[in-house]
Amino acid sequence: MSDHDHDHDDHAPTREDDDLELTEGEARFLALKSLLIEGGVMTADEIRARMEFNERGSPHQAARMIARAWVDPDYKARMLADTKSAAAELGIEATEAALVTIENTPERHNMVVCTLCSCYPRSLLGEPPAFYVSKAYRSRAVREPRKVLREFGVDIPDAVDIAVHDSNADLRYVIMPMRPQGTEGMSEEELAALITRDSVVGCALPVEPA
Amino acid sequence: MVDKLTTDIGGDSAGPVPQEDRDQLFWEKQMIAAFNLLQVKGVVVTDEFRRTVEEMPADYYANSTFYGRRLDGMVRLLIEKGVIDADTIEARTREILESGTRDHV
Repeated sequence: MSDHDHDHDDHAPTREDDDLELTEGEARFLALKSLLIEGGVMTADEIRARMEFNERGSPHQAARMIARAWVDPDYKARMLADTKSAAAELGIEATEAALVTIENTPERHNMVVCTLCSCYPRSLLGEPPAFYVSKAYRSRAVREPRKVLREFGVDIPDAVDIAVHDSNADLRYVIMPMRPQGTEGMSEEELAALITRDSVVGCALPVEPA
Repeated sequence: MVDKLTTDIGGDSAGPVPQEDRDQLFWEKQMIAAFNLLQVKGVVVTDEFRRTVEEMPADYYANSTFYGRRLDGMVRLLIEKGVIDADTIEARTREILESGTRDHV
């Protein structure tokens, strides 16, 4: 899976958008930031350190956990029972109040939305994608999930139920996709490369092995 | 029964889900980090922030963006708490926009 590039996950966030025009929103944030620093509420170093911490949250983290669960039934049981502890086992610090893993089965496909806002398991998936925070997804996912999934190119057969889970700030969800057929001989790392961000939100299926 | 909250859009009808991804801008990453620090330091709590978003007028909310709401809610909450001053942040925002550079902090 050569197009699955993990290198950027570890980069410190140092790039400024110097090529973009300064917008009112950015100017307002810069004003806020300067006032918070001047007022002693936080330091520039603290902001930088927190950005670096936040950059550790990426879809690769969820992929590592799910790949481990696919090869290790005991780990899978622990992940389903206590997702935050299972994350810690792999050295992932999950800052969410609570995380719950829900497993896709041949009978039931699961997907996640946050209808009220944008609650998302950032420690395991990074910042939410544009579709996830869009009003269209937030509105429609709970009413017509099959139709929404078809817009993502995912056709769930009518015989398979779809369960939609509405996240909130106190409880966020991770979907464990089914391990694709034909992956029996694959290593954990190879398996992790099949697990995309959207498959952990339930809006895609894992990549089929080549 | 109260009318439903502005943010309570689950089940509403809407157009196609946007499929195009968009990278976070550098200032948006900084803003999320600053927001997280405000929470960690106990300056704001999540429910207070949610209330500021729920208070946004419906037409404003309908036309707002995710990061725009985050910034707007944060600023209003910090003004309300007396952490920053409304006139000062407005004046500084204008100053930064007029100078057109990011070299302020």
